[in-house]
Amino acid sequence: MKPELLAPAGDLQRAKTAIRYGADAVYLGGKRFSLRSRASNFELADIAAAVQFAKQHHAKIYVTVNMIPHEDDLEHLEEYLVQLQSIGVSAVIVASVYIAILSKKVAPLMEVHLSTQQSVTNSAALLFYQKIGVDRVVLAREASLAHIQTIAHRSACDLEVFIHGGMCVNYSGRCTLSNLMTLRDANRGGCAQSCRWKYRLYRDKIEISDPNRLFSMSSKDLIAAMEIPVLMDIGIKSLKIEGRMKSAYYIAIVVDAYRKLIDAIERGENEQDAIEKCINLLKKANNRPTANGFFHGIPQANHHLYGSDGEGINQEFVATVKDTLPSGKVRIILRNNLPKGIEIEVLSPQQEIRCFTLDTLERHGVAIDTANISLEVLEIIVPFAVMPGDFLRKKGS
Amino acid sequence: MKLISILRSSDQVVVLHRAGADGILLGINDLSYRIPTYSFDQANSILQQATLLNMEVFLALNRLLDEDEIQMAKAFIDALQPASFTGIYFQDLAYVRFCEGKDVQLIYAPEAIITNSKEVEALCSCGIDRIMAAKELTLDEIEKMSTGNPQKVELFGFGHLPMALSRRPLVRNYLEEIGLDPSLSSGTQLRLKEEKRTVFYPILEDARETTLFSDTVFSVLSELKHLDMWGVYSIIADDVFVDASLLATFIASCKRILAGFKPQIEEERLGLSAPEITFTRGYFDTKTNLTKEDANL
Repeated sequence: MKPELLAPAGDLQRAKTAIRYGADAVYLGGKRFSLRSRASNFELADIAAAVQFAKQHHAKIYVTVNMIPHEDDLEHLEEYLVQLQSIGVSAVIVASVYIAILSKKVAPLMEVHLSTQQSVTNSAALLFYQKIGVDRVVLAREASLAHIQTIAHRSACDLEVFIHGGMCVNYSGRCTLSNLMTLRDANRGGCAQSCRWKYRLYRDKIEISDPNRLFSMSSKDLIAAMEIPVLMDIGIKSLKIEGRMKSAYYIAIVVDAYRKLIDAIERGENEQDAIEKCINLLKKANNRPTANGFFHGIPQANHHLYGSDGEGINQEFVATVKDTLPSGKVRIILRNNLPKGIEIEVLSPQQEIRCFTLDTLERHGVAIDTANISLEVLEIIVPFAVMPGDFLRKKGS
Repeated sequence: MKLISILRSSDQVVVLHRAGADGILLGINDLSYRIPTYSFDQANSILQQATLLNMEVFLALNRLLDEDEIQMAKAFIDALQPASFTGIYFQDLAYVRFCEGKDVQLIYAPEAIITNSKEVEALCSCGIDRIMAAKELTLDEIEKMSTGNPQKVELFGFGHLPMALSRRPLVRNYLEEIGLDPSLSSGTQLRLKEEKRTVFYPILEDARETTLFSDTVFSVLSELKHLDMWGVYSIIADDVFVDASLLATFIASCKRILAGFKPQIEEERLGLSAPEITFTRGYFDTKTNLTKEDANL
């Protein structure tokens, strides 16, 4: 069984990008009831538009209703669930037993997927959720590959596993550091990522931390390219990419990389070659440093980030394709400094990377040598066909 | 309202009984974290001692279980004798299945995720007897939750609040990274101080988990009467990182407040017994739903 590739989206454009680059399903959050609600750009109409776009491309839309609600947060929840069902959302992702039961009652056509916020780490717990009607369980990131295999063997419930992106260092849902340190509720979309801050460590009132390398709980991001063949072999229903706050460029690269890997394995191609290719593609996504999480055991020191946070600004991504003019020139939307004469790579859905030299760069028909105003529309000549939404980046060394 | 205390050592049973505790809460080797653990035989011995004193004994089987641990957990539950331990506190819902048909109360205590009355209602419709509410609730929220579900809600009542749980050996990993002896990660002497702040957060590393706690000590004394009136079933007291004798002082104060004594006097009594500690009301008066802008980071 070919697994579903499930991608995140913070707005409609990113949802479309994920689907164009090969996601079988996209998860997104509305402006209410979601852990990323404050950053969400999805009104109900946008979700409906995402559903329509997804249907045209034989994909699905899942909506996160995964906040841990306090008493005052529950107002209008029931009608929201009914509305999601009526616009054709395929599933809701929930982190509450109450919401799971309610959704099954008032919107039975939608599947209910249990969020990783509930930290399911074993098959016996999974059976509890199955009994209340949950259709799919997103396993805790703390489950190892061996445990995932046994859970899959022992349970009839669909399983979803995170394969890429940020890692909570604590059990998801069981962390209120953000509440403690900033009064921002981690379980209601306010996580301040206090785990990634720097701390001095004391024992018996004496500092034992290294002042040049302070204590941090910051985890490296997850990468599971090497584990994909096993996860496919186990029969995991859905492989999930983390990152509703990530850019369209990041989503395009990560979805594209895993799409190609999954398809190559499915076609019976050489796994090691496909994995290597996937990892090389992922390097362009400007991840924080990565590790393989709990897949092969409890993370050791080399799974943490102590020195720097590892986050950087991607300078390679330079523009997206806006459209092609009747003259054949391609209009682009600039995102980073772009000098004439450099080698450009084009990232297009379901295609190998294509390259060309940027010989022509124009602003309103006037040739220029360099451009650096973000979001400015410019014209270039590309020696092959490109599509709106394709990404241009400087060719790496 | 029942007063339940974590049992730091077996010789505390009598002390806690004299202070007025209705029950004690024990950890079990391999199945518990954050609190002292005992073997099955030791737990049974404590059970006998407590039963003679008419105290209830609860087990805190509070670890989230890995797949290869569920047989061990199930075997432990299967070995429980009828009418022995009163109940179990757990945060892995696997125990609901393990305890089907067992004469044992089930108290779901997942640390952070029970935050509204509907959730309590839903969980209690699934075979769970009571739930332990999240710590980051205001008094208003607790009132709604407990009056809507009388005798179904329990609360953390005393101690440093456990605020985060990790499956990683966070301290050991760090000590290895900077070339120090990893064994320094054990014990209750470790504190973290965020580099821009002045307060110290206790951190405790067990064999399998790491827990980070609040810097201050929470005490429910000022609101105990209200909680009792609203139908809160019990409160749990924990002495981790504080002197064990303080637990007995707290329990005795609770008992007196429930008997009609003024909370202010008992708060003063508690304060005088540990002048170095600042006791707080936790999140009773403080919502934790600020935006990034509100929090002024």
